[in-house]
Amino acid sequence: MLDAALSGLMMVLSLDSIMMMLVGIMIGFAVGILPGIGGPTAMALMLPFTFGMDPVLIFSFLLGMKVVCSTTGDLTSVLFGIPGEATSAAVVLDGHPMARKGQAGRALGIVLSSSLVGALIGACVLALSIPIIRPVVMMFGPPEFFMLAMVGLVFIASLSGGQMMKGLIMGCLGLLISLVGIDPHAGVPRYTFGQLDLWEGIGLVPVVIGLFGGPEIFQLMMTKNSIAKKSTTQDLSGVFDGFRDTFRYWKTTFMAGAIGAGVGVVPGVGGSVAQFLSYGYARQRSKNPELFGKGSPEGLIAAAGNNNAKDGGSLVPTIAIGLPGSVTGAILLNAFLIAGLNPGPEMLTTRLDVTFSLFWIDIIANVLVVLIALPLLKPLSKLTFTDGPILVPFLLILVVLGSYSENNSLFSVWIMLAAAAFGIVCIRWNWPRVPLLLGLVLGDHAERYLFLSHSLHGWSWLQRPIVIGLAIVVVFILYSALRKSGAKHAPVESNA
Amino acid sequence: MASRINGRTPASKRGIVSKLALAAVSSLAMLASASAQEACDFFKNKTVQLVVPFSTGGGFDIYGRMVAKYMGPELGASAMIVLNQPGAGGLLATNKMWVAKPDGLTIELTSTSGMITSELGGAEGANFKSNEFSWIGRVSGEPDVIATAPSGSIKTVDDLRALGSDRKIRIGSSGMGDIDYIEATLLTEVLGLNSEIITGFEGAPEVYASLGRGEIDLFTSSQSAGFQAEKAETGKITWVLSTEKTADMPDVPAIVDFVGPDKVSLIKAQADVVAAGRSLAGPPGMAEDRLACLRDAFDRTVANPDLIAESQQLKRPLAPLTGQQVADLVRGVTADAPAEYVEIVRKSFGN
Repeated sequence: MLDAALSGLMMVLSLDSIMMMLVGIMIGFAVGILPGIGGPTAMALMLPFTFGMDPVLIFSFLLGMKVVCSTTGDLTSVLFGIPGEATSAAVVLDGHPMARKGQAGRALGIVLSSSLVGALIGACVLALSIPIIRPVVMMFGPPEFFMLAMVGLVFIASLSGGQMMKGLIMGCLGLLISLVGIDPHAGVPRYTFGQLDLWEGIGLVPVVIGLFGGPEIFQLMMTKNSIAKKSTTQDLSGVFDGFRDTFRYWKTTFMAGAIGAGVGVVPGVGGSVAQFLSYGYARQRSKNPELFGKGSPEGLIAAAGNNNAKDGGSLVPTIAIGLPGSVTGAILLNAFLIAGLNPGPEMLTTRLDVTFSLFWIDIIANVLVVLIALPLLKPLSKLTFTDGPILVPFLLILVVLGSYSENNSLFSVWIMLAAAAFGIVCIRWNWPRVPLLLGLVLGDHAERYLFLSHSLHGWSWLQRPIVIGLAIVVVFILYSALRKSGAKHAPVESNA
Repeated sequence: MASRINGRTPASKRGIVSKLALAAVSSLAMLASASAQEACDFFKNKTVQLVVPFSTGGGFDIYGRMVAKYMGPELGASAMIVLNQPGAGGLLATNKMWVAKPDGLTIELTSTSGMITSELGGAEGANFKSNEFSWIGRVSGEPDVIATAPSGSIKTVDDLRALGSDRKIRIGSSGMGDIDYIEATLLTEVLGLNSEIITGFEGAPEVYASLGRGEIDLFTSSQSAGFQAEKAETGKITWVLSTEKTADMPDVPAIVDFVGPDKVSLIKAQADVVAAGRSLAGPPGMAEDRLACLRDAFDRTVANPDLIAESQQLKRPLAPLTGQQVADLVRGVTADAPAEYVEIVRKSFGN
């Protein structure tokens, strides 16, 4: 196995492979920084260019692109409060308030360093799981997926802070919205009002962009100020403070990476949930939960640290049994086929070197991203001092483009605008937005896997050991959230 | 010499006659080809839009981009661009194509089998008649296969029936109305199985994962998805869902060998629907000569060795049919489908 790991490394360290990685990173950087248009779109569009390439070159190119998108998505979230990717919505919660306080440099430093640490953890999970990868993946079936969705849903409690009732209402609203579309069980359209556009449900990307980005743009339009107040010190050297923060809160950093990698492994649930699990958990165990949502470095670490970690984890089911864990996974599965690789036992035996090369690519690409992004942080953070009237038109174009590109349809733009209006209402009357997103993302999974669990196993699925273990986790999270909210009534999203 | 002249004269006379005839034929042909050329000149320096009814990055998208790359130059178009228009499992794009301007500049790579079954099954939201589209040609079409668990005990139809006397046989499916649901209903009918269809999976890899875990007994999918599952050891191809074996798998029997003579037409109908595969179509009512241009360009495209090489490299094999063949195939399965088959499809859509 060590041989395979070394030969994987040698394959990645060739000049061609590093060059392809750099090309991928450059493309990913440009695309990733735009809200909405993210990793999956960029990778899908670049897929045809990989025809005929050597497997390691293909993955250097595509994974490099993916990795940089995870990081640059966070940059957009910090700078403008508009999630650059659906998976970087939690970064907005603390990253953007830091930018408003003039600490954009420090926030970006945290994003880069915690992303890198998270990615290393994710890559290690990938490498360490190789010997046991198949049995582990096969252990997780619909009942386990359902329980994981439940674990996500109970975080609604801690992510609505002192406003438990409002949080629950928003969570239920999210679940209701997730019902829109074709019923996964009976194949009947629900709440689609005769609109074929609604058959595949309400897209996550336009909702995330609108819900978080809408209010920020509206505020810039109304106040006509820059994002960071001019009076604040333009301390741009804070980048290294951010680096220090990542290691000062090393427990949070590590936990964020572990949650990202662990949840990333679960097909379907993946990154859009991992960020909130990590954020919610960090808030629960933090000594200063009241600072979360107001620009807490700890909150930002929890959100940014798990983003890149999940990339490594999400490769696990794809490699093990050819089951893609996410949209990105589905595109990578295509790339596997193009490269003539067959996910399954072959990737774990005769082509083990290629599997290890994925691990090395994940690490090396993340290091390269940090090195490339570092000199760009200062100019980027200056953007937060740009006047609103100059910035707003560009941001408007970006959010419209980002939501349109999801399905190449104007319908998504309307969804984004509706979400933006709703986001503004939420801010005005102080309703938490995160529970709505959790409900929206998890509703579909929870429903699908609950029905599947029952049709496959009757009620005996409740007796499966992992299901019982996860049920205990659910009770524990609920208990500690309720106890904390009894002790402190702190709203989680003061900016939200 | 005279004899030589005499000998030559009749020959040269014959030559003149045949030359005249040839000239007449070729000038007619030239006239025809001139008008065809005129029709085809229409595409010069125009942009042709190829609508792919699914998202970027999937198998459909790869086929679309591959064809567009080679067909654009064959048409003389300045560009042939792929427009992804996902939604409602392809119905959204196909409904739009049904009412699009039939000028040949907008065509679709249709999920033809899904289109036909939606129409036959009376699916909500299917507002078209598959038969009336302007069929340009089939890009790919592969048979569907029936897979069992890799470690399971089911190897023959008798095993299935024996298991069915103990408990219900579980057949996996993405959902009602999906092609795998229709096939599950069909298999239950033709093999007389005691079965239940488990729905709610998200796509073939997830059903295969479930098959690999031994949670379900049967699943039907495309042959290529079946191959992937065999490599990943999550499924084993046990029968071909067709009236004949395929060249790729000479050892795998066709399911038709195990059904009663009265059910053969049902298997044939389903095999034909699946065979319609991924085909190019324009809106209904396209001018004859323009459709002919598109069909010719398509035929040249799929004969292009570069495209064939690329498709092999990408593991996306081509299985071309001409526009006329696709049109006949589609007409056959929509107009002449056995009533019992239509009933099975309607049932699979909950109608």
